[in-house]
Amino acid sequence: MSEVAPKLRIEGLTTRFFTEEGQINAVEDVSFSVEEGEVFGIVGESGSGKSVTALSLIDLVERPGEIVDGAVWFRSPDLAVRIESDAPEAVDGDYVDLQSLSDGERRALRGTEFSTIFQDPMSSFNPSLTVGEQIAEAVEVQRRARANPRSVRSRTQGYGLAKFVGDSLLPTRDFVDDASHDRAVELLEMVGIPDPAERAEEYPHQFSGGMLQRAMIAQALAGEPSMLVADEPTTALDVTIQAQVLDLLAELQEDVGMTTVLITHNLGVIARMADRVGVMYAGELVEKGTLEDVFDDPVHPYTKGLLGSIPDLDGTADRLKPITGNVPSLVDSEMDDRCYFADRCPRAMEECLEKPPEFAVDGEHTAMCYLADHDYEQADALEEGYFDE
Amino acid sequence: MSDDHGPTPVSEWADATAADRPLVRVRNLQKHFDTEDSILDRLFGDTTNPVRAVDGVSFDIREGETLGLVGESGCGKSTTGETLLRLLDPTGGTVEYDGEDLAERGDLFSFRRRAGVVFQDPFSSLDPRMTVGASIRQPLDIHDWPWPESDVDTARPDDELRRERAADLMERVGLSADQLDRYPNEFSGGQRQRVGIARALALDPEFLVLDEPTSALDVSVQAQVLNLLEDLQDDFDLTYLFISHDLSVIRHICDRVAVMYLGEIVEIAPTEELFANPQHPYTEALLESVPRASTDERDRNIEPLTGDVPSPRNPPSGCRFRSRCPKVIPPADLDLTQSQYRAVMDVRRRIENRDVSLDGLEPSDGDAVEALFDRLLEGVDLPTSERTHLREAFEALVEGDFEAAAETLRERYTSVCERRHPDGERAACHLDADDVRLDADGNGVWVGEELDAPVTDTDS
Amino acid sequence: MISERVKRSLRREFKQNRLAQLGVVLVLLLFLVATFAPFLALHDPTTTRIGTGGTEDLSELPPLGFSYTEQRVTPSGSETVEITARQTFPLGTNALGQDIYSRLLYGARVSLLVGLLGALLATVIGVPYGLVAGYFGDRIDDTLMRGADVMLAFPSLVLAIALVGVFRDSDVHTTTIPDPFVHAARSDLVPNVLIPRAAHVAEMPASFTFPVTVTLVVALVNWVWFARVARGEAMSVRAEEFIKAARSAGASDWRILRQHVFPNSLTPIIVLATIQVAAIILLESALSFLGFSGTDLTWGADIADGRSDQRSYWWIATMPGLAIVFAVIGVNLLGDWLRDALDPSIEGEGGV
Repeated sequence: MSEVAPKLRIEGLTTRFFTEEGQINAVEDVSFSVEEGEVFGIVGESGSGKSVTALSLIDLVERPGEIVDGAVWFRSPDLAVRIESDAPEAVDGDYVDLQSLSDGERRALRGTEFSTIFQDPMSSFNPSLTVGEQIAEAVEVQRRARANPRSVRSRTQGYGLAKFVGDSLLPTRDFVDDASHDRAVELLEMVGIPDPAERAEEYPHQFSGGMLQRAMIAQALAGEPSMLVADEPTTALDVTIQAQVLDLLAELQEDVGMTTVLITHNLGVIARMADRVGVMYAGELVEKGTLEDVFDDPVHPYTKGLLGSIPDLDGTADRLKPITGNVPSLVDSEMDDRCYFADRCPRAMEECLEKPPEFAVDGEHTAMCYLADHDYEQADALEEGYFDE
Repeated sequence: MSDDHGPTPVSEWADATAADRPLVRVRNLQKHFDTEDSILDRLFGDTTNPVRAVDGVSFDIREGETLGLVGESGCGKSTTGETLLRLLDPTGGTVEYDGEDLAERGDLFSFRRRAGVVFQDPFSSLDPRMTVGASIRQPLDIHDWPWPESDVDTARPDDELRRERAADLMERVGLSADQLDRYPNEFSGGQRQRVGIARALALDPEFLVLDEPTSALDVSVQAQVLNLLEDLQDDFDLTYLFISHDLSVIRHICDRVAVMYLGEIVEIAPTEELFANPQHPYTEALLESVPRASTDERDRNIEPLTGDVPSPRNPPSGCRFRSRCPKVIPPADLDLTQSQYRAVMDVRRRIENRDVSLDGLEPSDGDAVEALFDRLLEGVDLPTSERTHLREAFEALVEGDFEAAAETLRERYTSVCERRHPDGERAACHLDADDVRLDADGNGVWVGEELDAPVTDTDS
Repeated sequence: MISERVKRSLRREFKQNRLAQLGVVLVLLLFLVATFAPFLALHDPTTTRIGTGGTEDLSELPPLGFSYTEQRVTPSGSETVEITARQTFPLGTNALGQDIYSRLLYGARVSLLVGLLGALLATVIGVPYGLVAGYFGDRIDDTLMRGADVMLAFPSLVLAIALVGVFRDSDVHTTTIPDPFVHAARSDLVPNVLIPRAAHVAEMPASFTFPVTVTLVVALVNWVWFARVARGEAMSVRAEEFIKAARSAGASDWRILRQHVFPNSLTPIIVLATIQVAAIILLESALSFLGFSGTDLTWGADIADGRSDQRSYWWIATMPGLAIVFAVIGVNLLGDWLRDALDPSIEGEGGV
């Protein structure tokens, strides 16, 4: 337990999607905290809700999705002071609840206080602008945001008819000034791109996958954020390039002390990067703790199953122990109020028909499972085939 | 064009016997793609540089074994699988199946009965407009099963028999036969992949090419499918070519492994051997790069490979891995450590590609050369003797004369790896060669005859 | 062929979308009117009433509610005459005294038939052409699409003039299609009790003229659009893994085209076909207006008739004009409904 207060406190985050097929409970009552300067890894398979959690943190959830409950307390004394007068309910000491901010205020924070990197760098860059221009713009925007948080405008914001006519008639004016451009080149160098001045003049399609991912990291750092949210940052990369990028992230994280939330399905990446881990299943955080807690002493059967189903690179060719069955549907009408893993769990008991609360295993190690509370009772086991239709 | 290079296939080893005849024999297989050629180009015979996706691979697959083909994206592994099955026409080389050269076979139709494929993307490998039963049946319809030699009651109508077989196959892969009439969108990714496997088995083939069959699946589902594939192999006496980029999966399921890089096989060995004792620097780098799901992972120090994969249109001369190889072999008499040599080679490559910015450097500026040292060789501490040579090159560079600078560097720093294509019994690497002296760290130095510096370089 | 999901999408879109409902109503109306023209018409559309042989001159009667007065020159000097609309000619009459309302109903037959058959012909020509080009790609694609481009370069009017010039005097320029209702009413095969207004129906024209050359022209002008769309679809389907799977099982190109490429390309083709019907109706009207169709019982021809009297006897050209407008709007809205309902983004896996 660190002495310093956590950088991020998520409390009861719940995100739902209201679609024509029904209500989808993507993220259900998720709570965790991230210490300053640490890497918190969220691991889960598809349908676990991990990506939606990431989007919810930075409020990029779009219709038909909606964050229906919960608070995202972000520690920033400066921000707290600034916001206090206008929105006192969003402030708690040094913490600001990102959820209760207005859209404009939140937008101002993106890029300055916290930043994101995504899986596909190609779609994060505008193909018709050079990489240097885009990073310089990010630098510029954050500079203005810091100077005057209320009036954050990006290139497209406030882009009305007048500006369009102006831009078309007047000779091209650089949107960004030299200082921003120089900083952009600096950032490219920081992320290990050789010959950054030349590369800054190139377009995204001229970059390889690994390079572009580095450029995306550079862009994320442009605003000097204190927190980084990385959603599957290396999933689309080859394994040798992945190693390069993870190395870079680890280095940056160390140098700058960047608080990082890292989302991935790859347990190896988690093992390499994370200090603490949260395991998600069917929209819930079923287990969390330090890396050692979760990897060496897993309590929740899903975590165990996950670890047991990975072929071991260094080990023998034992038969894999997969988790039987399929990921459950997240459609509200099809969900019971039970432990969502019970139908695939080798140790399901009668009481699992009632959703387990979060039990403490040991210190910060918690699990949403009755097995954290007491041992498995064969006598209480649910009969086989209980959940079959 | 290409001489026999790459690791020597098993059946050609000195101790191979006639009984070792493999089920599949691939020799010098090549597949080049001509893209971006307009009609006019083709008319005049002017083609741009083709993409050399597969550029001379040779291997055997023995009956009953699982050969793994592993590599990163763009290495040509999927193309190898497709070309082997004649889904693509090879540009060169031969494929022999059960002793018969597929190119000489009049028609491939009956071959298709003996070899099947399972594809990667469960969302694209099934026609969304056909029920899964219809998809599984399709090969049966195409080949007009049952055949005279099939073990079925031929009195019954074909339609019924085929439907029954499809149902049977569904059960075999762990799905329920009542779902035969459902559409693919009603199944999960893992289930669809099972349907794909059932379809591949419809005609009772001997040989299956599995092209990344679990890469698009979640980890827990992947485990289910891998177990299934192992069981099926035992039950039906199947031979597999298992293509993947995932080393842990390869280790788990394959008997032997071939590692591919940029269209060539760089190493091929029995699985345990390969993982315990990799011979090729690329294999080593690959194994090193994979993060392990263990608490020791953080303490594991790795040296990631530098740079990006070169373009398959313009692969490096000699050994294709040399532009990134941490163990690229220096000529004798250089006063450089291995990593220093690698750094110098990287600089040489950048100069040859004109990938160096001369911004702010004036020829008259006395500090210009020093600035270049800083820019290009930051953090690399070179001994004076080598600095002198580099200085000469940098002086030319400051004048803007890239050619002269490159020439100067080539004179001194040429590696055998760029002059000669490596081969070996197990790994295609010069570190194995007689004329290379190895030191305690496993790094090599060329002690053979003097190498001519290349006139031009096809590096990228 | 139509999956449950598609039916659901169609129903849902229909319920939510007013315009879709309007489109369906208009198109249904068009169908009903064209099919049951003999029942719904008030008069034989071809009967002229210009006052010969002692009969009344009922030409240029206004539609109901638009009675007017005008100066007429008579042997005894000019006098003011009141021209009143008649109930039996609710939309008025044209210069030949023919009932406009009845002519509209019969005109619908030509428009609808040419629209449907023209679109069908264009589909039958264009779709296979495009699928082959898209599936095989490379040289075949280049050649075929250059051919299509040449076709596209022909202005429809030039083509029309050329073909009409060739076929005008031949037997195939138009063809006569008998009207089953009228025949049934006139004969004894079907007891007249089953036919409403049997006596009236028996008086209607026993057949109507269908312009063949015009249909050919519209098909030739239109097929390229189908080829393009089909080609695009074929190219994207070709890249799917299930095509590779079929080939690895030994399927021939022909089988793949038939079993996989064609069914998976249908959706946009259906939408296109519907929308093209509207375009074809417009084109047919234009060609009829110019006199190319070989029959004058069409909306276009009626507009041509009424052209000279626009100012004073405006209804003669306006009524058929309105008919065209409603027909085209209706078909377009129907096409929009199909497109919105069948849009691929609804069909795909909705991601959460």
